[in-house]
Amino acid sequence: MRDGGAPVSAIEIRGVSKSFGAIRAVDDLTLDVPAGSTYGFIGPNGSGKTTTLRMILNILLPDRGTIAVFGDTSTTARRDRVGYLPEERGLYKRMKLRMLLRYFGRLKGRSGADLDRAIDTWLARLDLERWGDKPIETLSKGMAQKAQFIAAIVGRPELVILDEPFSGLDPVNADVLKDAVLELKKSGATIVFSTHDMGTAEKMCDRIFMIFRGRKVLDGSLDEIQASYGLDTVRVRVAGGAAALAGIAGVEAVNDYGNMQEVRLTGDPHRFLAELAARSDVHYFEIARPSLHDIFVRIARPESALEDRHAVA
Amino acid sequence: MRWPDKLFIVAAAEAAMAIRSKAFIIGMMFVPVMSAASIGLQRISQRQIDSVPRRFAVVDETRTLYEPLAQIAADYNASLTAGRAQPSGAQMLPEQVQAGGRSMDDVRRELVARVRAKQLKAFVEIPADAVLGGAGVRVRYYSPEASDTALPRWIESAVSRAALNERFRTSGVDRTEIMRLTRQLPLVRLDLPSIDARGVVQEAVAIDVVRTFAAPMITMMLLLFVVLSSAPALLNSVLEEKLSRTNEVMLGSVSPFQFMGGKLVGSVAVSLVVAAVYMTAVYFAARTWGYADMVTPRMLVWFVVYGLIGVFLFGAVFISIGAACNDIKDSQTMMMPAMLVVMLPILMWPNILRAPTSAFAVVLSLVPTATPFVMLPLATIPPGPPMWQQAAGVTLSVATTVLFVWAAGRVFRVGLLMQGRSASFRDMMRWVRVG
Repeated sequence: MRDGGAPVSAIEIRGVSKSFGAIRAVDDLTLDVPAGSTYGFIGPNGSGKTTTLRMILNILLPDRGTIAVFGDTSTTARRDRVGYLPEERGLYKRMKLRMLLRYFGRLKGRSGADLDRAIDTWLARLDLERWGDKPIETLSKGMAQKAQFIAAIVGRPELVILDEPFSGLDPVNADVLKDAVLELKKSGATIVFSTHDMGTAEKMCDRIFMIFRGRKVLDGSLDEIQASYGLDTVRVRVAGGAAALAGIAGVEAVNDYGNMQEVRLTGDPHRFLAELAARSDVHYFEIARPSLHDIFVRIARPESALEDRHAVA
Repeated sequence: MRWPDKLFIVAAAEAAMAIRSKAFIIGMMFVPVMSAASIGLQRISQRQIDSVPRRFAVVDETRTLYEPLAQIAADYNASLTAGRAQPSGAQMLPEQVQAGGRSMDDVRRELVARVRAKQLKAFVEIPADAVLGGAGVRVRYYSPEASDTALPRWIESAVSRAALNERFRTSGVDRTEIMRLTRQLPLVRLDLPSIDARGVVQEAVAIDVVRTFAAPMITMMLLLFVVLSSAPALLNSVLEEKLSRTNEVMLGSVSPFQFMGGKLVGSVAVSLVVAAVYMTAVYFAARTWGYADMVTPRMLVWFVVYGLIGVFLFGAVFISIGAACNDIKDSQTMMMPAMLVVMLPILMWPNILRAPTSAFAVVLSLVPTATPFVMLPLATIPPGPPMWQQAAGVTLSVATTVLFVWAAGRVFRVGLLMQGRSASFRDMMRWVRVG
């Protein structure tokens, strides 16, 4: 648990469950988020991600189980050492930006010139310098989201929880925010963020946790997760497209990208290649591990939809 | 970070947001400006003289009352202009109408036509037995102008006077002697005379209507303004945070109780600003009119104590409603009963003032939600409520305030993150029980 006095885990969740009426949002969840890591929380809408994040922050109380942040189960530690960007953005519209950031910074225990310097630095970093003395209601959606991000991190938290931080941002602002997140990581902060963008999760996260119907279904590094699925995927480009794949033995599912098809196989990929080559010209063939996107879809896609995909294959 | 620190940071931010808003400044000035305007307008309207002459026809079936009535009118009209450049009221111009062999219906037809043609304001019929003084005799007054009360009132008085004089005359009784014998003894209400150090009893002063009636009412209204200037705003503030999702951002940094406590304390700060402004205005007004001695340090302390109780108590109620609602319409519906509870003592005030020591007044002053609005004005009426009553009132209302704040904390915690339909009072009670 502890190494030389410093906690190894930024977050320790042990057997946590949470229900809303008859619906079990989180079911017997156990999870460790190592300190200093970037941890991606993925899962379909309504799977329990936000509930888990809210329980980590003590906004919601678990029905069962315990949560410790940096080894501390007290609520004070969680609120003082954690910065939070919620999925549903909300700021005091009539407050001026600089005043608002000072307010949130003070709530995290920072004050005075040190806080003002941090605010100036982040406003400059995210290109919001000119808007410091303007009310929040005058900011565009993208600017407000960047302002919300600064509000979450201006208290210099050791753990930053970002719920869908990049959603709704244009690519330029998404890059600015991504760089800011990486900078936080470099400064030693632990980053937890939820996302629906599997590409971002693959590229940015040291470890990925997937929750589905309240239960943990994936937890590990990308390599570990992909390795657990084996080399059961081939990517092909053939004359005739997806239609050329119909009826080939061992094809479990086909994800058709138009110019390329991603095929999940149960059989030997070399026999599949031979059969495919016999019926069509093969321009490209690659044996690969499944992408995070594919793994996500395999877990989360409803059975009915899976059957439709088989029908295509 | 220490627990209260966050509460006070939230309180400071809430107070700053409220006090810096234009709505607050306008709202704070609205009440005194409107009150002053309303008093001013009433005074101006009272000074407006209704000088439109009232011409009316009199069908005198007694054949004896018209002449004295005309004389009373003449004396009255003369009094309107006596020593004045402008008449101080409307002239009364009676005009006798004789039937002259016509039926009463013919006479009425003619008079109705003249009233409709605006030649007359009204016409009256004095029955033949009016002088006899029998029961059930009525003077009939006809006019389409139901809102004109001055003319019928004057006619009623003048005809009665003329009829009385005629009755005394025909009975051979000296009216002046009767008046002397039946004159009532007036009573002058005096305060207790003060007794100086040498034991000499000083001249007592008459009871002042302003001190007795106006001061308690003004005190009650001031307290009401102070409470209403901040407590209901908490409902809007919480609801706005829910609708704009700011609540979740805040809950990432503060506990629900710190959040709610900060709002309440911020609200108290706003109330104190309002109270300071109002009390300053009241003090200068009182000094101008010679009542500065009424604004005592003791009264100010009671004002602050009851103001704090009122703001905390009703603030907790309004915060709970804000947390339980998810749209403005629902919040307004749920706000109604709470506002009625606030207004109840004001509605009951005339009965309390009539008998400040009655069981009704004492019981109402001990109902925790009414205590601030009843006990404070009662304290301005000498000798004020007894100490046991004030102590019981403060104890009960403080205990209720603590209970309400605790319950509001539980409602706030659950309600703040609740989306979808608004909660009912039953839901809120369940949250209070279960947490």
